[in-house]
Amino acid sequence: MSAPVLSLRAVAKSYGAARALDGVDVELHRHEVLAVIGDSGAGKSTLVGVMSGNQRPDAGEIAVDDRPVTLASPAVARSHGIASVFQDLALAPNLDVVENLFLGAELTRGRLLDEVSMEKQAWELLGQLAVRVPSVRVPVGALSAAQRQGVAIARSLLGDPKVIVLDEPTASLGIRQTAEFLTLVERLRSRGLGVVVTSHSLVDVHAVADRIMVLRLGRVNGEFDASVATQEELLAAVTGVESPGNGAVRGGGAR
Amino acid sequence: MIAAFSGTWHRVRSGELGVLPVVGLLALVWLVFQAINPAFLSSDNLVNLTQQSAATGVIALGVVVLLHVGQLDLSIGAVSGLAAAITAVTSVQWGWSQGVSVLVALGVGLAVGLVYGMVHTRLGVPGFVFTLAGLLLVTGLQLRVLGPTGSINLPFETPLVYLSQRAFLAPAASWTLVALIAAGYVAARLVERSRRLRVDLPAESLGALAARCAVLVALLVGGVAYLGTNRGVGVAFAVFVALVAAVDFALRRTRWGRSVRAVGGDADAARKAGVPVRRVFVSAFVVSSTMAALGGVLATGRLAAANQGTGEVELVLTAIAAAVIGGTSLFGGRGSAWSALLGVLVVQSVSTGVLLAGGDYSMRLVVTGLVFTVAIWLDAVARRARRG
Amino acid sequence: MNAVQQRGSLTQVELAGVTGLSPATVSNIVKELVASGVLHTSPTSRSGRRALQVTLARNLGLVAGFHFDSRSLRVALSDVAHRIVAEQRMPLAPDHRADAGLDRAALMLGEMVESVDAALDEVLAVGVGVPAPVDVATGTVSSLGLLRGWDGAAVPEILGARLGVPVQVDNEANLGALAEARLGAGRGCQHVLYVRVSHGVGGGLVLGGEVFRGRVGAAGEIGHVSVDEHGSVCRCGNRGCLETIVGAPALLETLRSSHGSLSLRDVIVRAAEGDPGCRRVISDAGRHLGMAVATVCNVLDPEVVVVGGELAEAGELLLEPMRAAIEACTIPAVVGPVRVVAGELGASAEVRGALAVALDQVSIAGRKQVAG
Repeated sequence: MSAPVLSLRAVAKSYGAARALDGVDVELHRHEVLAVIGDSGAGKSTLVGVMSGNQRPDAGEIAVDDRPVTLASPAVARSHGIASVFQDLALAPNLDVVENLFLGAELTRGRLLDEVSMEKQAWELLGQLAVRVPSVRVPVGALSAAQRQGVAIARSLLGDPKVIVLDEPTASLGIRQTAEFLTLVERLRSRGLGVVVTSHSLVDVHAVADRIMVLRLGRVNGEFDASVATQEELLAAVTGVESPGNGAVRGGGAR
Repeated sequence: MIAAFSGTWHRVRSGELGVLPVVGLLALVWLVFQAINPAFLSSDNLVNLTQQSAATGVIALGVVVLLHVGQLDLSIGAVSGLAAAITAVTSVQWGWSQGVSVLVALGVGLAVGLVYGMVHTRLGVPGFVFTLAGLLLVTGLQLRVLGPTGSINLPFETPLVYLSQRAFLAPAASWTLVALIAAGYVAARLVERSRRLRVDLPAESLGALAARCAVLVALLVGGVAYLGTNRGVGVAFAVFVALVAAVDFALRRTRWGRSVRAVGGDADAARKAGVPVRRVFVSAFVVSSTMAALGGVLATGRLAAANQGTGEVELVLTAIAAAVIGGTSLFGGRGSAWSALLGVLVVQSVSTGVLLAGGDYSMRLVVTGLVFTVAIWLDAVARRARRG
Repeated sequence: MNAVQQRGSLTQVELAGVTGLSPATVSNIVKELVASGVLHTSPTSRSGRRALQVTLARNLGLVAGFHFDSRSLRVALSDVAHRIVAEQRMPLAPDHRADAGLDRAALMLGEMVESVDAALDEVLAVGVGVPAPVDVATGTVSSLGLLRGWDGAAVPEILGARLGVPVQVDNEANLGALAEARLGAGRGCQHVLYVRVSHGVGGGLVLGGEVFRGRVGAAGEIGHVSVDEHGSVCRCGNRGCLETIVGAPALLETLRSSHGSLSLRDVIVRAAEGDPGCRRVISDAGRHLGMAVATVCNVLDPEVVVVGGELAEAGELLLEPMRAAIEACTIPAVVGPVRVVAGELGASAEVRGALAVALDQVSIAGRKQVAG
């Protein structure tokens, strides 16, 4: 099997006395969807923050394609091929869809913005992902939650990332929008991307994940093969009631 | 009828109409004052109006840029006063050439902006707080530069005074400019349209494009022709309008402008998207202070003097009021460079209009304050409509 | 037209953006289609702008089709003229529970009905396809263990209580067979064998124009034809079923040591790109399928064999070895071997079949009303 596209080794992060992450290892391959689940406060957001360059870990190593990297900022992470969609989506509400898609990476002709090319590419990109917006020239603030999310995901795909990190993507979506989102994740996977999805909705991520990693109190409390893990096993690992059962690839206590 | 009105109202609220409401407001102000005093719309008065607008307008333009990133600089009046003092003292008392004096004054403005930008990005304090400290500091400097007399007159025949008071574009020059602007605008529109059609994007119909160009040409030709029946288009005013056009272009068509609007909309989102947020903040403070300094220089030229009163608090408020009345949001991220031009025209029209109608200074402040209030109210309503 | 069908409903402005046509052109086309009764427009307000919402014109009355596959749910909504007005797919967790799946389906239907500006009471009937034999009379899964989480689930009761309409449940392959026979690759044929190769392997029979279900709905279950009595144990409990050899888990397991963990879609994509291992696995599957199908053909002699399911997207790579095996194992006929073709309705075949049975319900009810 090929080397992991993204790997984290013994990553730790504390906020004051609170340990948000404690010796967490993650491996992500191309063509793979890794779901990270856990209660709130389990360290999901911190883990995503570390992967996306939004937070600096106190300890541990991060490697992209086996080369050690330091993810100092989201922009640096993106330059290493790791794109993120934050839970708040990080869109400027006053800018329109095209402006948001290309924000920080505008196309230019000479020294001026090339609006025509950007608008054209925007339609193509949104079309590929089957993201529907009334017009690419409406301010993002006027779009629905699902549309905004589609825009945020589309933006993360500009610049051909290897890894895409999605933080709590289904939190604010209706069922139809969730369906569209999950189908979108499948599409990302078949494009060859490594996808990390965090969620507290087990059902949603279980539908598209290849592997499921359970975080509990900042530690890995089990890692499961999604095709054989049962909801009960996963729930047990989330709540810490029982030691993980048959589906566990790797138990938290085993290391 | 009611439906039509509520539709329009909705579009005003959501800020969809851009500068149109301000144009309407300006027309209303003009009609009212014309009705009170028929001399108001005389070409003589309008020429005065445009000339008086230049200095405040340039300062308002700086305010517009800074408001785009959601910040306010309360010391712009003081900076303009300091710039005026430096220009006057170095050129009159120290005998520097006026060009050098002006450049030094602008440089000081730039430096002040740089410091503000640093303070804001390092300490994260909102602009209107630390610029209050700046206001005291800069005012102190201004008084120190002016020296014990507190007032310095510029000789009437120096280039600065000439340029800001008595220099007008020759008819041939102004018509050439009008032709160039119109041709450039039409060409740019046509090129954009053909590029869009080539890649199958929806494009403006030729009819709409023609209408748009016709309106622009009519405004330009009408304005230049009417002002031409008197002294014509003042150089100071022309410089101001050119600056507005340049800033508008920079805000809409460059990566810098895009970053400025993004930072104003959501600075955290912009940072996550890879926008160099700190640099953008610093650049906005620099533009604002430099514009304030330029406005001070122009004011010195127009008054042919720099004194302790140059850049008093009223100037700050007028410039901010002009920007907001022109339609630039106090909440950041939304507005247009043209709001500086339209806003300052409204504010100056109210000032002259009240005076022509026999009102006094107090009356002038009250009316300007009322218009300002309405503008703030509209801005807040528009913001809520966009969020809602 | 296509754009409207794909999206259910959209505004004229969106339409211009999606199709790349100028707004004026779109407006003209829409006007023409409205005049000819294909489209329907209604004023709406999107993000504060007045806009014209464009939907496909529909007759009064809707029917819904649900198709539960082992890993996904597909919901379609059509009018009584069998025009699909909205369609949506949703991935599901492995071994999801029936009540959770049905709950999601019902919620989804609600949102979809809303998206075409209709009300839930306009839905007259619902058809449901599940990947297990179904006793059509009671609507319950009639064989245990094939669909964990769905054993004994009373689908018509659960859904009927939520939606208040008649619910017809059938095996997914039966529905696929019905749809392909009526609307797809089997149009004009009386006897159609439909083979569905996806996560599992299923089959459906249309004989004399009607779905043939057998005693408890287990007719056509070609996936559980025993091909190797020493083979591995199947989820149905027997040994060496066809499914243990050509079902997705078997194919993926074969590739695991050389290619790592793949999905069925990955295998199809890589095979199309020329990956020899993936091509080999698919052609082998075709050969095994062909041998099993040949047995059925020897018994029933259908006019056409329609191959559906995800693996059918591999096209000739799968069909060619299938035809060869069928030809080798069937009685030679003067007119040549049976036609073997890929389904025309693709992934929508089963949900189209579900719509068809729902529509049949409506028209039966209509006839009863007329008669009564």
